[in-house]
Amino acid sequence: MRLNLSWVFMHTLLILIVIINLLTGLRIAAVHRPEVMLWSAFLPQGSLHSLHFSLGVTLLTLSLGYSFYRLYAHRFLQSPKRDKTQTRYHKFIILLGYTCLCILLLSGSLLYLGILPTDLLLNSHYVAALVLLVYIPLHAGSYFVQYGIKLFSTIFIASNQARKANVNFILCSIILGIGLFIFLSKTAPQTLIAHKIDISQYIKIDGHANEKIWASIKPQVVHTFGGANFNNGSTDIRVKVVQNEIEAFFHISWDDTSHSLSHLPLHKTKTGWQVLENGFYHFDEKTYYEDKFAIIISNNCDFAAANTAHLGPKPLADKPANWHGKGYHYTTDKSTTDQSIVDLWQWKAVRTNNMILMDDNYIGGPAQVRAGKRRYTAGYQTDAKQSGAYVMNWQWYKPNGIVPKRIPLDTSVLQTTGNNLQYDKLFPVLPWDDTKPYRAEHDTFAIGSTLPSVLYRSNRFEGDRADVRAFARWNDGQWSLELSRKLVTGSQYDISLKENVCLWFAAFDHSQTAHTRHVRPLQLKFR
Amino acid sequence: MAMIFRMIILLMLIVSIIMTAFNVNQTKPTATIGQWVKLNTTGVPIANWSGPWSCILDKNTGLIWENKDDNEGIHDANWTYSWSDGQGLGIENRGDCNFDNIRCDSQDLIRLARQEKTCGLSQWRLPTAEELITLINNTPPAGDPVIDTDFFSNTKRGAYWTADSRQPLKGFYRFLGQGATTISFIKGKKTATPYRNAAYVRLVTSERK
Ligand code: HEM
Ligand code: HEM
Repeated sequence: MRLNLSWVFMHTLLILIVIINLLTGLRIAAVHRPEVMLWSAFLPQGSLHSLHFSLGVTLLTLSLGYSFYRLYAHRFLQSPKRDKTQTRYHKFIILLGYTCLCILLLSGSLLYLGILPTDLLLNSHYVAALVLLVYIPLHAGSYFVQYGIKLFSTIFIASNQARKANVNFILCSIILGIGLFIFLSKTAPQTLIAHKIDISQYIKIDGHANEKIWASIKPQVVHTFGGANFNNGSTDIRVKVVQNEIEAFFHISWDDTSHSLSHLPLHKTKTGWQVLENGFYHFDEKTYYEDKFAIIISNNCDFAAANTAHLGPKPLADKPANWHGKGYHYTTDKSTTDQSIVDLWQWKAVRTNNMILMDDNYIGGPAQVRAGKRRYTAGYQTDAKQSGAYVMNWQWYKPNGIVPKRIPLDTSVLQTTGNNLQYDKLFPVLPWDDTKPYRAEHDTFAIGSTLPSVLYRSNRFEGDRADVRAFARWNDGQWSLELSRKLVTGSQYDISLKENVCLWFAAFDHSQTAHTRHVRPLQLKFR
Repeated sequence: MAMIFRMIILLMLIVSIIMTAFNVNQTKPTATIGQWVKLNTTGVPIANWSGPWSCILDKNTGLIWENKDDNEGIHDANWTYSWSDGQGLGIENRGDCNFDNIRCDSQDLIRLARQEKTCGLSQWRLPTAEELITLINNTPPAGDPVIDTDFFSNTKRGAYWTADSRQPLKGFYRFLGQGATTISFIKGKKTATPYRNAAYVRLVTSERK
């Protein structure tokens, strides 16, 4: 039996789409689903989002083409007779496959568009992908068992029936696909309006956002997903931007039911001091961490954070693997002009909020490997700084016990709460001058005492790292963050805020590296 | 018969995929070996990624360098010193440190490090300019001092004394006559500096462990 060319074409394309999107999709899932990490050895590494979405568009085209084929094929394409091969078992399995593909297409498109809350969409996309994985042996495997290798010639070699009509059908589908692709890539970014305000209008960076201007602007809502904690890893972010031609001001709020200020507290146990942690040793702390929020600003509007997200334990052959196996951020642009870096601001509820600052970082090309650094971070770097404003309160971090660096002059800020630790009540930072060096001989703390882990050496960053002013308040399940930066800073590690730059937002719920994400960038438009 | 055979092939394929997934080791980073070796308080080498450490051995030159800390002891990186050789050359006690509640000069640190036997060694001294320059690393992360701070922790972006004394002073300081050479870890610049100025110190020793 021979099948017609259109069928062979569509079926082969579908096989490719399913295999590649399962592999790329599972690698994407591994970023936030530890159970997928088990299969890491089989999954591709590197920059995979664009490929996944391109094949998503191909699948969309294919489904449109296939509907047309089902409706009209009998008229001119001569559909094959195959009632003998499709037993009831196979009919049922194929129906299952179609259901999965429909769910994947629908949920994938909605995730891509970013117009609905993402929690349920992402989970259905994932479950449908897993069922599709099982579908492969049930469908292809059982055909193989039935017919053996002669099956391959049946599905990959087409008959000569209605050759011309079939070729035309295929060409039309390809043109449709290219058209859709161009249309979608042109409309990829969403718009984020920076409203013009007068220079005389004063906005206080205090997180209250009680200036009148804020009430008059409609927020742009960004549905983000794939993080740790939150509501199944998803949260909604609301963004407002104004600018006075010198500075831009942002008011950003996001949902977070837990106000997390307990940052890797030190805890005295019978065997000595320990850092309370759950994943910190492999740089993926998800419990004892402060809340954070990050913004990316880039001249490049490609998917996956300006094409900086490269997934997998070792996406670069000549650079070290990462500890958590999830991936790295780095740019791939070979030129080293300031246009090729990506600006990254990071607000930290404990370490930077008390300084009324946001940490100003950037993502560049993969950095040189340094023998003394246990954590290689590829392109993710901090901007030039004159002095480190905060240091961690241990002499050297070890998972099985540490020696504190300093203790408070006034030990009443310490907590001894026995088995009933209330970390959130712990004073989160210690100013250097209110402390003295820790000496083991004088350690009279009771078992169960906790000490803050963040020491402020000074209450400001200096240099380029202090370009972004920011302050946030938590109230009733929401963080409200106000921030400002000059439109143009002049630093080679910053990107200017101007028409058409792209932005991404990521929220961290008491986690170190696991953050939420969204698919399409927001493109800044000045009004 | 053939169908059963193919069924077995299929099952074996699936089982072997699952078994491989469980057996393949996850890629984990491993430390590379470089020029620097950390030594603990008693001078025993420790691994690159462990700590704390008190000295750093340079495998290229064989020199052992003092590591700096921030715990307000004698090795605190924040203390500054005037230059003195303890025998009349230089100017004593013009730097800021908090040991002894007096002000400090380079000779004080040398004396205390020798007394303490930092890393079990007792021939601590100021490095020559030629020696100190070997620590310069011209590709630090943005804004860091020009040194490998993963080993030479707490290094300041500022001037460090060398043993090279009797250097003619230039420009503004010419009226003071002579001074000693400092190396700045901002950009690695070498300058003749008046003995009375306050600069940082990193000691070295040529003893063998
Ligand atoms: C054969 C078809 C497909 C398969 C097997 C597949 C599989 C997957 C998997 C396993 C994930 C990870 C889910 C998770 O993180 O929990 C994923 C993510 C995603 N897929 Fe698909 N997918 C397919 C088609 C599509 C289509 C048609 C689109 C629409 C454009 C799409 C868009 C997305 C998006 C937007 C994400 C989220 C990306 C992110 O987490 O950053 N997928 N896909
Ligand atoms: C598809 C999108 C993205 C993926 C798959 C992704 C994935 C990752 C991964 C695997 C890490 C860990 C890297 C490491 O340990 O060095 C990471 C870290 C980070 N990401 Fe993303 N990311 C994405 C988008 C974004 C966006 C849009 C932002 C900011 C708006 C962002 C900000 C950050 C920050 C600040 C860190 C470092 C956290 C820290 O260790 O302090 N990422 N990301």
